[in-house]
This record gives sequence, C-alpha cells and structure tokens, in this order.
Amino acid sequence: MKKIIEINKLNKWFGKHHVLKDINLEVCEGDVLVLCGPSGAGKSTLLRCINLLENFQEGEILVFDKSIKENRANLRFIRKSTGMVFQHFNLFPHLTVLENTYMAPVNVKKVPKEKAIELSKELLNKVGILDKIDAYPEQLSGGQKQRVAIARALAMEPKLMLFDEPTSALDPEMIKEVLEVMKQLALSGMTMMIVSHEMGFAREAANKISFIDQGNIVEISDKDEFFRNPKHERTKAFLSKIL
Amino acid sequence: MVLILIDTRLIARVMPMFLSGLVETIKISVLGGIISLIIGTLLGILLTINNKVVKIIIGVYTGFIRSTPLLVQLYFIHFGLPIIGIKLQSFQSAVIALSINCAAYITEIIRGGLNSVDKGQHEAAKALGLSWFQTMKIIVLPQAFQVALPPLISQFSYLIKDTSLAAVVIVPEITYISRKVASQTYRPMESFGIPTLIYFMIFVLLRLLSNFVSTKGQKMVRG
Repeated sequence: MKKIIEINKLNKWFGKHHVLKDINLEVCEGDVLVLCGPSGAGKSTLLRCINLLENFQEGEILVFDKSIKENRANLRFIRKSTGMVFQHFNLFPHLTVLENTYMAPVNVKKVPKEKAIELSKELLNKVGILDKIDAYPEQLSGGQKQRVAIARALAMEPKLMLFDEPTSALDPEMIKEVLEVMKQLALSGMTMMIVSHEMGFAREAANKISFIDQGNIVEISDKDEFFRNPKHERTKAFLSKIL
Repeated sequence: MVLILIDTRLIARVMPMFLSGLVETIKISVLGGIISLIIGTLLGILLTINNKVVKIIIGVYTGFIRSTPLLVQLYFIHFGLPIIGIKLQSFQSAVIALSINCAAYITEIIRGGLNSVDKGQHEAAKALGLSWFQTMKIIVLPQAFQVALPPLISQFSYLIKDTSLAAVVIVPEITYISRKVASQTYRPMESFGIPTLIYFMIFVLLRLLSNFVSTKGQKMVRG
C-alpha cells in the first residue's frame, strides 16, 4: 500500500507543555483513521501539524513522500492536495456558498472559472446543498455549513482529507447528515484522518482507530481489533466510559 | 430676517472663486485620502505581522502624530523643513501633512478591522493552499474593510474638514478663498456662509457614497 502520511519522532511543545511526544504514525492510501482520546490529549494538534497549521519543533512529517518543512514548494504542494474540515466550519462569510466552493480551485490551481463552477455544483449536489448555492453562510444551519465546508475542501480534488472534530459544534440532529456525507466519502476510497468522538461513526466507516492520551499514541489498530480487543488499560478505561 | 442680510448678486459674483476653491479642496482631499489609505493599510497589515521592531516604529509614528496638533505638523513641514533643505510648495506641504496625519488614524482603523477577522479564516485559506497575499486580498481584507468602513468614512470626513488648515500655508482652497472674499467685500455673512454650506454638502455626499459602498461594496471587493 502506498504511504500517504508518514510521521517520524514528532515532538511538539506549547511553551513548556510537551503536547506531542515522539509520535510515529503511518497512513496508507485508502485508510480511514479515526483519532480518539480525552480532550487536551493532542489529537487536534497532531492533525493540524500534518498541513503545518501548527508548527512543530522536532521530528519529520512526510505527506505524499514530501517533507513538509523542507521547503515552501513542498508545503504548497501538500496543502493543495490536502483538504481540511474544521470544527467551526470557517466558511468565508463574505462569499456565497458557490463562491466559497470554487474560490480555491480558481485561485490556487488556476482552473478556468466555468470548469470550477461546474465541479463545485456537482459537489454541492453530492452533499445536498445545491438549492442553496447563492446563499451566504450565515443563512445556513450548522449541518449545512459543515457540508459546504466539505464540498469546499473536495473542490480542490484532494488526495487526503483531514477532519478536525467536524461534528463537535453541531446540534445533535445535524450530526447525522454530516457523518453520512463523510461515510460516503470514506466508501469512495478517500484517504481520511479524523479527530472525532463519534465512536458509532468510527465503528461504521473507519478501518483504523488510534487512541491518544497525554501526547502519546497509546494504541493504534484495526477497527475490529480496537473495539473487540483493546490492548492497553488506558484504552479499555476510555472505551468503557464512552461506549 | 437673515435673508435681508444676504446680497444674492454678490454671491453670484464670488461663486466662481469659491468653485475654484472647491476644486482645490477636492484635490487635496482625494490625494490625501488615497495616500493615507495606502499608507494606513500597509502599516495596519504590518502591525498584524508579529515583529516587535516594526510594532515599536509604527507605534511611535501613530502615537506621535495623534498627540500633536495637525496645524503644528503643517507648520513644521512647510516652514520647518526648508531649514534642512526640504522646500515644498504650499499644495505639497498640505497634502503631505494631511496624509501623514490621516494615515496614523487609518493605520489603527485597519489594524482593528484586520484583528476582527477570525483566526479560522486565515487557517481555512492556508489549508486550501492560498498564498499569504491571496489570503489577504481575497479573504481577510474584504472582511476587514467591511468592519473598518464606518470609521474610515468618518476619518475621511475629518480629513476633508482639516483641509481648511491648508489656508494657513496659502493654498487657495475654500477656506482661504472665503477669507480673501471677506477682506475684499466686507461681507462676512456671505463670505463664510457659502463655504459652510459647501463643506456641509461635501459631507452629505460622502454619507450617501458610504451608504452606497457599504451595500454594494460586498459585491465589489469579491472579484
């Protein structure tokens, strides 16, 4: 299997606080990896290091076989080929749904505008927002916003998608519609790395699950193994609390 | 009562002078407005890049300008600088003094606008692969200007009123003209009544323009 992400001995500090400790991790093509663990464990920080939204002090991250900190060209390539979905959506409030979606391909990949619009409409249709393409983000519900955010990321035709707690800011009845879109995406073969507390989703859509605590990857294993037979005491305790 | 005091034929006679004064006032205002907006925007952006030295330098500039009277700054530029060999014409002195002065306030306004844009906007733009410049141009500045527009408009209305100070370095703008007309005609009511009305009309036009821009502006900055 082709490696998409390779993390070697990653260390990160916020001031004196050691947030990520000697992290080693591999994500292969087609993997859907869910990172779970208590809040403050460093899951989001780890995810955000992968496209360098968060800088790190030691170690190395390779995405698509390119070292992210080696040069600006690598960073630009990795960001262009990696989609990211945020907890608070971060849609651009001064742009319509359609403009939000085609803005990046037009400006970053220099795709002709008509082509980008066509692709955007297709994606917005897939996430079920086609009737709202001329609306502004403030006119949408949380679930709709997050689905637009997913379409916006997909419009760059990424090879890897990062999800940073995509459903944590949503009302319960909207979580399902977003997870459904993510499930479809996983089924389509997209490589995904997801920070989430949605264990039901993990059980259905993930193939690997990793438990992170206090800046360490305590356990990483195949989904079935993880739920049926957690090796580590810490993982067992965590699972017994949330399942 | 007041009407009896106003000589309409006199008004017709001096109106061309006031119109040429108006042109001068507009020239100073537009030039000063554009220059100060450019300087203020650049400095405002520089302030958001966390560099201590840059922050201190800009802080000294804005602090110094904002705590000294514009009239004194204008005197200094027009009468002080020639001592070290920098000789400026009246018009140049007025534009430079007003620009430097106004830019100090605009810097703060733009900085406030930029700070009001959520960190998540920068992150989303970065994650999509936009360069710093694109992020600023397409995502951050349009939102910052939306927030900054009302204070910017009031800053520009101060700027227009402050152009009257150019009279002291003999720029033939509205205020200078009105003093001249007053001394020639001995009719202070008309001489200072007309410029008052002209300034007021400029202000009203600026208000209308700002309302127009704030509704249409969102579309315009989108590109």
